[in-house]
Amino acid sequence: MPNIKLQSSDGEVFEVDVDIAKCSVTIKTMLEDLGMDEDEEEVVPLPNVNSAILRKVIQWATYHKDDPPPPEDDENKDKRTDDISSWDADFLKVDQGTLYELILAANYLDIKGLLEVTCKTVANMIKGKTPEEVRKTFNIKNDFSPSEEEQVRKENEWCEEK
Amino acid sequence: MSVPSSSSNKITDNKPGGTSPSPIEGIEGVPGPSSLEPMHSLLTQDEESEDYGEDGEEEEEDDSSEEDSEAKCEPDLDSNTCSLSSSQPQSFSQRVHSPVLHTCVPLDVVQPQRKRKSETEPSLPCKKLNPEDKSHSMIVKKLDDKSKHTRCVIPTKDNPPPEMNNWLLQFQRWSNAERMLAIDELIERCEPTQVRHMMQVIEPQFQRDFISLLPKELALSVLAFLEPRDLLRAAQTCRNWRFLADDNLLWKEKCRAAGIEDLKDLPPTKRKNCRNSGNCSSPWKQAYMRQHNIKMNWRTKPIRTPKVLKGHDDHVITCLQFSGNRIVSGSDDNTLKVWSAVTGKCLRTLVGHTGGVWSSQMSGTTVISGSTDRTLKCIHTLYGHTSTVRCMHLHGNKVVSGSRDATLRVWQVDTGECLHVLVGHLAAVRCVQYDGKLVVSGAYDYMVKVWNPEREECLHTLQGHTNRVYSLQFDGVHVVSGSLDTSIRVWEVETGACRHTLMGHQSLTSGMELRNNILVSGNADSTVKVWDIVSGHCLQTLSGPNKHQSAVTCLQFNSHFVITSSDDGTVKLWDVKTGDFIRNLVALESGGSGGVVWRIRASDTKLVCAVGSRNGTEETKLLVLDFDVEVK
Repeated sequence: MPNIKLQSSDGEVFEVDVDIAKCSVTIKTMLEDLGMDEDEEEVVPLPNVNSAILRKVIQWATYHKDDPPPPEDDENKDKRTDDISSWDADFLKVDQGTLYELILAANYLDIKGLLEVTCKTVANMIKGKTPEEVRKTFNIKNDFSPSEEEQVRKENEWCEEK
Repeated sequence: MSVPSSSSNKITDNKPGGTSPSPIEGIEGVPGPSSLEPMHSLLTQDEESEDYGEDGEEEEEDDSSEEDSEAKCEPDLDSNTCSLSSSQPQSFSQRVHSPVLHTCVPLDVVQPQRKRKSETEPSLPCKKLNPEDKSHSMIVKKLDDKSKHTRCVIPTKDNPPPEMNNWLLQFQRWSNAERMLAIDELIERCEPTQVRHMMQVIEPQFQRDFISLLPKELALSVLAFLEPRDLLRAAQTCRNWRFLADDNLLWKEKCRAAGIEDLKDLPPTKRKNCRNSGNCSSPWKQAYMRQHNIKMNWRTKPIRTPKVLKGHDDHVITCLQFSGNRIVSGSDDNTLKVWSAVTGKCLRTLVGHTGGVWSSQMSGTTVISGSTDRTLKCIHTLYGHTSTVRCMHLHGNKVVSGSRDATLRVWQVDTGECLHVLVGHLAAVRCVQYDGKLVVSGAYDYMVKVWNPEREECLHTLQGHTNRVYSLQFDGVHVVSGSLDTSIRVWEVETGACRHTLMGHQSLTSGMELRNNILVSGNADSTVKVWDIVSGHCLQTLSGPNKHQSAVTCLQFNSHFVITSSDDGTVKLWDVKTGDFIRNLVALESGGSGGVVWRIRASDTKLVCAVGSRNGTEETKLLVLDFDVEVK
């Protein structure tokens, strides 16, 4: 398999199997549109991804290289979050800063599967928590005034099952 | 800055040469250095840690504790403080008080001073800095001596233990590997509560407010994975989250998933997306909440007192229609009554039949009835059948009637004309379905027939039942028939082939409803079953400790619930997905002693029940239950 060189924002160069790199639609399009020759020793600059994150992304893409392509119509797709594979779950046991950068990188590189699983992971961090617990989890300041908070609470009251 | 000035002063007074500026002045002097230099800490500068590299061992007083002296003297020194040499003489005299100052001068005050120092000296060779280093260590030493006296205050950030600065400076001097080791060792020496404190301090540094920090579309794609309930809680977190968690398209998606396809049920005032009143927000969210609240009204909220619509004396209500706000009840007292579901008033009593009414249909303002007097009535009286009209199905402007005379007739409703007669059954026709193209009929001859009404031709005779056929459902593809032989059969209308025989009931299947290949069947064996007619599997049996105690008389279901009525005088609500009993919506006191529920019809927000008894224990009447969200 031919390799391709990817350069992170901080200058580190990663040599990656072209097929793995192409799970990023951004890179795939770049290669196709710009007619970058795979034989050439050209380096693809990725100015929005630092080396630590790029290393993670490549690790993810390598593991998932044989995944079937994601379905096109996610309009009607089930929005479940309990279907994260154990490998992905392990892979995403990272601090919030890293997870945050992974989401941005997955978005920039247009890697649907990675974007989805990272977003799901964040959603799972929110699920089932009270507003106060959510604030604690993400270090959020409650910026509602007391009257506003009361109004928001009423507006979002959820009638529970007995 | 809170400086415990009284205690500091006291200590100062104990010192020789207590003419120095008070600690407070020293603090006030800070703006001097900090105005000269930006505040960022010199502690992080490598040169600084090198500067201090050799102190500690050398020690010994001599010259000055510049740190303190500078802090103290700033007001006096004014701008010439910048010059290290010029400040030294003064600082020497003041150094005596330095311990006091150390206990009082906040850390963040001290830092800028150090910084300035380092910046004033960068060109000096390291060795020349030693005096300063020495002085620093010396102070620490003195502090140690004095600590028993000076630590009379609880340490705070503004008032750190005197040794701490030095300790930190030491740390700063180390290489990364040394620091890592030091951290490991430090943690090792910590007590659990201290480690926990460490964690609490460190954790926020790794936290990210994803929803506020991510670009909007990414934040929304995270929120899209949340259940409505979590979205509501997210909206209560902070303003940013509220704004995103109320996103209209996000809620439109939640509505779609919940089967809410439009906003027509929403009061017009709420359909606009406005938040001017500070009030919510997304119309789709409103629609979702409305549906959820209605669902909860059905499931758990206290049931409001039903409207009681008395009529038909002590006769049986044989058929019930409910559409819009109109209810039509047919009775064996030969009449039908039209009621307002809103006011509960009887609007009309339809008289004219000379025998009991046993079937009816309703569409808009049209009511059609079939009677033992062999006629159908709408605005016309439809003559032709030679025995009781037992069943009918209205579609558009045509109605198909089935009779004990074993025939079916197709009528033009507006003219009253009989268009076709379908002959072929050998016994009474008990049930009929008509979709505008095909007629399907079930009869007491155990047969189900599929007809082309225009050509008055029987396309298929569906044979297999071994007893009378009482109930039918037809979705254009499948015919489902329920029989006294206890089985339910699923047929393909195209070929006439029997796809499945659904076994499991013990008795007569009296009522069925079919939606999206899910069939719910009510049986005289007092159970209700939910089936997948494609696979032929029974998905749920609605029974258990709260099951009906007697034959199921009627049922209706939607995507959430099954509602069933029974001869036991109850109306029960079940979860269609889990098959769980939810609760009794109606439980007649006379249940078990004669009170029965004959018929039920439900809309999204209302339930109409026809109740009574054959022995006089329960008066014949309609009960109308309202589950709508309360109008405020």
